Amino acid sequence: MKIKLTVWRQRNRNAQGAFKDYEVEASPDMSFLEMFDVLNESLISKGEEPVAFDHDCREGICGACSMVINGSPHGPRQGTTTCQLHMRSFQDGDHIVVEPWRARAFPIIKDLVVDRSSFDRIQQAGGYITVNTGAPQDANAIPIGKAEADEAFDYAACIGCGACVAACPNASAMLFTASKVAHLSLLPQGAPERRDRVRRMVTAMDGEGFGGCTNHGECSAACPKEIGQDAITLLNREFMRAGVSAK
Amino acid sequence: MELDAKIPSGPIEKKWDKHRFEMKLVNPANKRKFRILVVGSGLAGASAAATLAELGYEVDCFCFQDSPRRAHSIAAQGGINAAKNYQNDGDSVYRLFYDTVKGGDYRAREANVYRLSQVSVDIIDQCVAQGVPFAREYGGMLTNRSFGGAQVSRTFYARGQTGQQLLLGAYSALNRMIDAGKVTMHPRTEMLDVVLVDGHARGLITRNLITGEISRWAGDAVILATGGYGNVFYLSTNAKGSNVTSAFRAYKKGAGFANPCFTQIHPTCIPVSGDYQSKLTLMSESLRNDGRVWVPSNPEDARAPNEIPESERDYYLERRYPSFGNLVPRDVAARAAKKECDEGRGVGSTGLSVYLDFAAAIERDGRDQIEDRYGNLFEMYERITGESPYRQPMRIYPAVHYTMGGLWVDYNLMSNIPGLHVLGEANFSDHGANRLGASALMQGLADGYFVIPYTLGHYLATGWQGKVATDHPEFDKAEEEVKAKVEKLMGIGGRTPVDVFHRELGQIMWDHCGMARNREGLQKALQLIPELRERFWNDVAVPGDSMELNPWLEKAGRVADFLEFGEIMCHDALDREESCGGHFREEYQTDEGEALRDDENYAYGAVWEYQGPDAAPKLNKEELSFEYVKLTTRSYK
Amino acid sequence: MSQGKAQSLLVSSVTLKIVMAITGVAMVGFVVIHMLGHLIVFQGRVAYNDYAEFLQGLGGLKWIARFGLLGMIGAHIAAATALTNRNQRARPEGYVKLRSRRTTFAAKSMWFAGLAIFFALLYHLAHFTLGWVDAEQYTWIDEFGRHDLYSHFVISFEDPRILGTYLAFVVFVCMHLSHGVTSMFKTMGLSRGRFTKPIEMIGPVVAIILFLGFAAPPLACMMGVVTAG
Repeated sequence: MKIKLTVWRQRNRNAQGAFKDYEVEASPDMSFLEMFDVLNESLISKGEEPVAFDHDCREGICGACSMVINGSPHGPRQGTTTCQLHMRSFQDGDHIVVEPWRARAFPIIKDLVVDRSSFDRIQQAGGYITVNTGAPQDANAIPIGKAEADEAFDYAACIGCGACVAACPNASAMLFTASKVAHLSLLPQGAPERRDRVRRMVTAMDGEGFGGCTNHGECSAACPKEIGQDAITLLNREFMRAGVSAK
Repeated sequence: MELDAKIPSGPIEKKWDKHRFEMKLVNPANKRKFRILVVGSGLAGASAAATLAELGYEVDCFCFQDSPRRAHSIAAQGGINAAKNYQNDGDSVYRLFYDTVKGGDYRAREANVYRLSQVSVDIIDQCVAQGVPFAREYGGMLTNRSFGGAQVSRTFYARGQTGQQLLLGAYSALNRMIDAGKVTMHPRTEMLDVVLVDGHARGLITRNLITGEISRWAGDAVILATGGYGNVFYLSTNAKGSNVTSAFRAYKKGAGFANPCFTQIHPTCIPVSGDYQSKLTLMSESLRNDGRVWVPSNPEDARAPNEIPESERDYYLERRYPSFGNLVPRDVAARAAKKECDEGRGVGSTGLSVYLDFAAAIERDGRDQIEDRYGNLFEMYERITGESPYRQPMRIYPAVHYTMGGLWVDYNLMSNIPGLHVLGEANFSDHGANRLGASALMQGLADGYFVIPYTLGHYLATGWQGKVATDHPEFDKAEEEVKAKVEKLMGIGGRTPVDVFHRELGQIMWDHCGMARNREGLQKALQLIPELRERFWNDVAVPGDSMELNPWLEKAGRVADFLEFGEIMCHDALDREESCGGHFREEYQTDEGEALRDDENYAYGAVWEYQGPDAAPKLNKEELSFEYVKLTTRSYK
Repeated sequence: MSQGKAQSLLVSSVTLKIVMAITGVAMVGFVVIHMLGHLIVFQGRVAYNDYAEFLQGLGGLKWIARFGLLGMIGAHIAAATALTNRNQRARPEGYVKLRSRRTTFAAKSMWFAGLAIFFALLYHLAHFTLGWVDAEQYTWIDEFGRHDLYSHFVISFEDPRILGTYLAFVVFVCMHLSHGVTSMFKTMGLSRGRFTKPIEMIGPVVAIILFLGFAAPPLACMMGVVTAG
């Protein structure tokens, strides 16, 4: 199948970027990234500069890959990362526009590669349970209902790819931040630090320059792990709970 | 090369306790004076960095990914073993130890394995306390499953994403220490050399992958937790970035590389679909609990699978291994699939796959049950292949998945270079010639949370030789070498993309040092690899500039190392004239085609020592003794 | 490579959202009561003018309510402005194309609809509260010598221009609330699990009820079901 690609090229963070057109001969069994591999090999052979993009595990779990494909982060398939998107989702002759994640808090490093270290800094602001190695009691000493454990897992499934930010009309990182807050808020282990955690993580999120949530739901629609907006509701609840607390 | 495993004396169940008491401690107030350099942020690296920082050490942690959370530990699916015996089904520390030594085909060090089994129980406690959402029963207790043919249910799991959840746990512990200012994280930073001062590992040379800047780091000890080298095969289940570079640079500085030929081939992966294939995807081993493996009896049979009648199907695992059937260990299942394909009975357009059929299970338990158990795996399979396992059998083929070999370490997880510690998949210590399912996560976390925090202190208290600074001449030398190599790669000006060489190397390794090896093939590989290397250094194309983000330069550096490393693997496979675990030498098999081990002559860890650029590596041996687990032939008949 | 220390903002985005939700609740409450008031039109002139007299007779309470509402409006607009500003800064360089999968037209036009409502509200106040639009009608009195709001109401909506403006106003309000009411529940942390689906529906349902409630009296006037005679 013949694919016409229009790809964002930008030399580095401060350079002016622009779209460039390419043609690729793809096979329906290729993954979207393998199509880029083919493009890059042909560019290298022609002595042209290949397209830089983030990727690593290529099995949908590391969260590195990040392309906005025809206006959708990770492309048209529900619950699928770019690396797991296959060319059979497209038609011969299709024109595909590929852009990087765009947000002030995700500055472009090169071409389609963006700097998502803001996500790490949000996690560092309390996205953890304070427990030293060796300190805990027996794992079964804290019973946790299956429903709570399962729901906590739903939020813990976040891979930190940033598609939520990329899809949000406000470039908000609420779903990302809320996933961690919600995960830990549902577990008894997370309770002692719940107030500080939500306050600090929200402050960090705002401070990185992400937008605010206005409940569009685009984040959940784009999330490759299909994390629901209930996470955001839970963050809001935690935030108010912390707000009315005297401590 | 001096190989002293430093195994403590005394009965095996007392060794670790005794050793913990005998090791020297670092005064709490002095810990902050030590700077530890940790390379890698997967389960082993992140857990080590976090725990050492909790103890008070100053830690610098490096990873090539954009975030420590993306280390490839994240992709582990199945679970993590622990001898908790929560299911009351007869498990114990001793049984886990026994199973692991036996499963490793008696090529692991007993004392290390016993310690691993001991601390396995603490890992689960630690992870739960961090908020890892393991699967639970309705009553709120943790649940377990039997995994990879184990006869007890000792595997803890978090849906099909156990690795991810454990890594996020370790990542959160790491974040806490970054927040506390005790760990400085250096993402998108690749280690390109280790610096030795007076024979001790005291520093690193790194390249900032965004700016291209080469930097020096001085520390008081170095920890490598850099994962396995499966990508030497080009196609593997490893992440694209996984590489051998850190371990290999240490090897070139004198660290012994042990058992490099022990690679694990996982039997249930999605088969290759074309030349453009960049990576193989694993399907959880749990599929074999309900799926039946078969091929058409007649090699010429070109019918669609559903049209082939029962009588013309060969359920070869059930036929050859009546008692374990489809649940034989990984190495056995993988080799059996290869045998069928080699003999022409493989299916699919390439002939390189076998069927894994769920029709019987769906008929027995109903589609809903099967969907409940494997729904997300079936979905993933369909996403990749476009075929639905509900309607037609899956096609699977073995793929390189894990490497048991790695840098040689003693009981303290220190290599033969003082101060250079190696954790997780990067070392060779615990899995012998074959790793059991759900044991990799266990080992990575055991090393990082519960072993290195003790043994590193002992090194600092007894072997440490005072502060060094980055202006030491050894740093000058190492940095110059690194810069020269980068410049050399940039200056070749060839026309052939790196991946072309990598694919070719992978093919050589897969053909001659893969699931089955023989003398002739290995000798051929030893001839082909240097030729390929020669072509690489003359014709590789590295576009762009070295002082910017340049994924092709990164790749070229890694492939250059694989091109040397592949040879060591072949040397090792050639030396080991027996079949054991993941290493199957065709010359050494029983009449029925099973692996034939030679305990008389090969019960040793083969430790390879660098001898200079064009010389063959030198073999050193660590003899293994088995006092507790009787050497028997593994049989799954 | 790091962006450096994160900047510290005075008020968090979640706090701003909570301000919007709380002021939103108060205003929705007002809108609902106001709609019920309109419906009294169907009970005829006496009942309607009675109601108007009752409201005017509240004295101090009336002023507390008026200033309260003004405060709510002010806070709502201030929070919205702050949030919108931040949201616009959060993506300095846009996409050539960003496809929406789940959001609604109402959600995307909150700011615009909010502004439209604000100006329509000024007009509405000028019309019925201050009597600037049709000063003559404002002087009408009923049989008890009170201001005849009933006639003012009915005659006004017989004019298709006034009716049109008013209906547009109602449409904006309903659109704003169809997203706003659901959003309010989410911000207050109330929409979760089995409540999620019903709460997704609350906004649109409230919007439809309000639309019917607000559109019925003026349409009845225009169609001659309710007359001033």
